[in-house]
Amino acid sequence: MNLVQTTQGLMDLSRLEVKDVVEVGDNYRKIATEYRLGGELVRREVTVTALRPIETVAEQGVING
Amino acid sequence: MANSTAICTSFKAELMLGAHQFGAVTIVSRTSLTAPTTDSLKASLYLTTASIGASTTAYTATGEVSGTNYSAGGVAVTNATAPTTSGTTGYWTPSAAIVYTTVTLSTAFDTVLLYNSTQSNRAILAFNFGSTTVTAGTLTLNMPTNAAGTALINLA
Repeated sequence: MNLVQTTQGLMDLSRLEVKDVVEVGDNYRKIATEYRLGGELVRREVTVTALRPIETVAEQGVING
Repeated sequence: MANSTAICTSFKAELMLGAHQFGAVTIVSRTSLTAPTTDSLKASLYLTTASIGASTTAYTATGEVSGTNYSAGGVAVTNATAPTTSGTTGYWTPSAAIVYTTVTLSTAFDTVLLYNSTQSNRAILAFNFGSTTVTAGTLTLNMPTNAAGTALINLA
């Protein structure tokens, strides 16, 4: 038996309908895994992966420019 | 090799290490000047209705999420790898995923704020990952590869 935490306590995974929802943004990929019991959402977990860095360019000024 | 105009690459990493002090900024003691401790970093989450971004200067509870198993201020960020350089880029990435375990956050949120909880909660960066909710589950923010061009912070 594979138990997962839900809004109704620990529940056997085999009783649940599981669906992954994938979303890709400019700088991230997000996978939301939804667990439903009779259509009711009882668990939703999310994994976000950063795809691009937060980048700053260090620019040097001009002396006597 | 001829001389050239440049911001020195080592300086880019040393900014993140706190090795330079151009102004009289007040900092919390790092215990020892010759063997200083590393600052502690944290990550807080914000509702889609909040205004976290480039102008944010410090952690704020305004607009922060609330819900089961989420504590105000967020969670600790694992920082076991010091900033470094490659090529002409200084870079840094948290050394582990940021994880909020078995939380229920029912009101839509979209942003994480990394901040320095040792130094008066000063803000470091905000990352928007699109509107989401979590129900009795775990939110995992995976970090990118810690290398020039892919690290979470790149000073190019």
